[in-house]
Amino acid sequence: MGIVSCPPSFYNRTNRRNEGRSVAGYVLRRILAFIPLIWAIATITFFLMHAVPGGPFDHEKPLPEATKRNLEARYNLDGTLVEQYGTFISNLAKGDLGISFNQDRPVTDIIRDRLPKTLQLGVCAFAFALVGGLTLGIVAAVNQNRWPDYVSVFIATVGAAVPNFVVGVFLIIFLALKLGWFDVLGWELGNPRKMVLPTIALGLLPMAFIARITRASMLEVLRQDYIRTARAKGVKEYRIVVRHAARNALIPVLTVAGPIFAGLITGSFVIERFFAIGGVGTAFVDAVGLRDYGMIMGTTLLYAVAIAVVNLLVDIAYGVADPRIRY
Amino acid sequence: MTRTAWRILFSMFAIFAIMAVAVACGDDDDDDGGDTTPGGGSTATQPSGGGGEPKEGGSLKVQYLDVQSWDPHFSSFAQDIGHHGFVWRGLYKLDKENNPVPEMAASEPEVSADGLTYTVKLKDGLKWSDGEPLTAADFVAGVHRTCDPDNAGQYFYLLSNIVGCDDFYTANGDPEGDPPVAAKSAEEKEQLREAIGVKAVDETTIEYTLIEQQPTWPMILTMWMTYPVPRHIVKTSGEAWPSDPTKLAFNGPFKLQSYTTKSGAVFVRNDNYAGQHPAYLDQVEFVYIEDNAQSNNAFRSGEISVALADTSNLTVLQSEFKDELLSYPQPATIALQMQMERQPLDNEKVRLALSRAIDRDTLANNVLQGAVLPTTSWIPADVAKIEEGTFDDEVGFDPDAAKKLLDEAGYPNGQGFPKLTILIRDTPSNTATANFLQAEFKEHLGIDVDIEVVDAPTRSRRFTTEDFELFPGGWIQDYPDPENWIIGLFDKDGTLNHYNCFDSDIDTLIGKARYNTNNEERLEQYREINELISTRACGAAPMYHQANHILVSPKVGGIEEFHSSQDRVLAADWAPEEWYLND
Repeated sequence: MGIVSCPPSFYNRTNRRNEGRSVAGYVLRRILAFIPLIWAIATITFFLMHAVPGGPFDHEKPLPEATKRNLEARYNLDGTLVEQYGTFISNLAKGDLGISFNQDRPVTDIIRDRLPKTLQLGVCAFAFALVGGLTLGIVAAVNQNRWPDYVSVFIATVGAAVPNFVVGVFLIIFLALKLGWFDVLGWELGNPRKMVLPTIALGLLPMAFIARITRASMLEVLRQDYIRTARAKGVKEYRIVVRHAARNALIPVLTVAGPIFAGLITGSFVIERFFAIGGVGTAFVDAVGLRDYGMIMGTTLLYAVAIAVVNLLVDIAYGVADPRIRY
Repeated sequence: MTRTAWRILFSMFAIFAIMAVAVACGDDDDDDGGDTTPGGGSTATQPSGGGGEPKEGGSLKVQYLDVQSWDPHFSSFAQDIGHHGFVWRGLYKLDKENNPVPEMAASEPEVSADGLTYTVKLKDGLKWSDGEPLTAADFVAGVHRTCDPDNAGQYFYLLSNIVGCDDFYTANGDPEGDPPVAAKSAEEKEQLREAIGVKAVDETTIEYTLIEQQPTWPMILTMWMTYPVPRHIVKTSGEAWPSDPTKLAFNGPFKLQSYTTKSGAVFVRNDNYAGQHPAYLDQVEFVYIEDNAQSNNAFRSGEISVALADTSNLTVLQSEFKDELLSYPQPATIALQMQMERQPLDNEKVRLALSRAIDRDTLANNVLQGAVLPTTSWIPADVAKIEEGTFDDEVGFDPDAAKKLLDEAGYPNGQGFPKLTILIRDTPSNTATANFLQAEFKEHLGIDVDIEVVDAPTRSRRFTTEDFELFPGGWIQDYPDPENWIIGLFDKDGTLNHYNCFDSDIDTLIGKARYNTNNEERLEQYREINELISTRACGAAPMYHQANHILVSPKVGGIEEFHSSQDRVLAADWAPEEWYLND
């Protein structure tokens, strides 16, 4: 005979009316909605890019007119804006994002080369933030107003307040230069000397976020009647925290985890530039500054797809975490 | 909170604070900031390491900047040219004194009597890095590629003097021009390409036909837009360069083994290199780092052996790295460029008043922290072959003279002077310079100027459309001859003369100097032109020359000995075959 572990509203059966719809159908509908989404973002970005003064061939050393004309022809920048848009959209439909002016290579090639590092770093930082944040948050909530709580909150506050490149500088000076435990530059999967510092620097702020939200959510759950019931029935505190309270406290965490994950895998400009990691994070900002239309479009669409996919995953995860939710 | 809690919190805070203080006041002595002798000046500070006998072997990791394009016939960025020079070479190369010496060529070119035809013989048995023969036709293909309109070579204008290059380059017409010019058909373009004045007379002889006499032609033959094309890989002049550069063939001291965008590149010695001697090093690895503060940390930890110095931290580096910091002038001048079509900048006295109101020494040594070298000459002294500071008395800093000039121009004490705007790019050094100029003009002339900050492409666009008044800008040398500083920039029809310097004396002299085969006379004429530009502030009032500062590990040799005006990103990166390890 198990202990009642679900909140009372679980027994409210009105939601069962929608049982006919399946998760698969829901996912399919969401994925189909990507297409108009991408089209809208591509169109808005296209016209915004061309509205900004200065073009990709306005270098420090001015170019002769004949060269500018030939360059524009080479990169499909001649013709009216509407003509260029038409070419662009028909290429996009075939999966061709054009050529990056700054690297003279297809945009898809460049993104494919640079994405792995950003993804790896993002996933590692997310894992660090999740594990660290959940631990800190749970420890803090369970030991409310005692010293573990203060320590956890302090660490979380520092993580949120100190900018990540300042954290990076401290880490490098202490751990890399003075102690020599880690390398200063670069990212290499499987090489801890190069993985630890960027992960901590990037993951500290999300960890702080997750810690605070976990703590607040846990505190609320721990006050619930069913927890009191469980205690009264003699269930061990450890089981109560891990098996009952934590699972219910996770839902608000899931809400923020989605956007955090999307933000991390699309890369941090500051951290990538600081640790000289050749990822996608720097690509976007560099491209805007250089008016590299192909790269701007490629990275914008990449972000859009990443965020849309992550949001979808989060919504599916809700369904798993909270049985009350049906699609 | 309980007492215990307060105590614990406080101790945590104390620990953090102590850590922070320990880091800040580590074991580097930046407390004695008194020693602020600038590292500039025209004599370089030499690192005391390096100076052993060049020995073969070894591998080096250095900081570098990523390429935009691996195509030497297309690109124009200094970091690209740096990469290309590692793996490809032209008929000639410049030695440390900027004299052309044979590289792929067997000897000096034969020049026809009228000075319009240059015949060059190649060395025997030249091979690409993959073993294929390197022939005259490969060099012809190089010129064809640069002049090809579909390739849009950005340095084609240095080959405009070859018969037919311009015609081929403009063969795609100008459909939106006024009046519109139609594009040529494919057959016509092929004919134009064949008509270009560069021919392979036989397997080992190349002939160049020029439009006008050009005494500096052998120098052009050292440059990247004339490099040969591996025709067994890139078959036509209009086709794209392979996007994977390791698939190409090379004739330089190194060949490219691997390249990862935004990450790095690895070069290994090319055994088929036909230059004076094979490269000493087995391998050179580039690590692309954009943040110099971080590259300096990597230098400290020993991860890289050569790094660009973080100039915002120059005084610290000068004391921390006395032996490793190498500082030397770059052939680049920054001037206060003035749009002479806007009143009152058309008045020479006004321009000279502005020039004499700028304290260049303070600008260079305090505002820009010694990272640059003050100057009143447009062309650097060693290129123009004049003494340093020749024009200082005439147009250098003198607030009284400046006030007097403004008076004479009709604006006593700055009254009635219109408000001008300085247009700058959004970088810290540009902002500091603009603020300084604003203060100088207010203090010494009593006039107000505004500062407008835009980003790099916008600024370039404003320059080419001539929509500016005051503009700190300048020129970086393409090749070490005074003509490169003048032609196109200060002549009446110059395509880059966007400040509208129209001076009949200057134009007359340019007409004489340009085709003058008497080198002594030619250089004297360019010296005069430089004097006119600098002392009349025609379009530009020179302010400073840029300087390079790099950190070189003492175990690296060849860099200090070979740095010259041909450096691209790092000192001596134009001659990597001279780099070696000494231990």
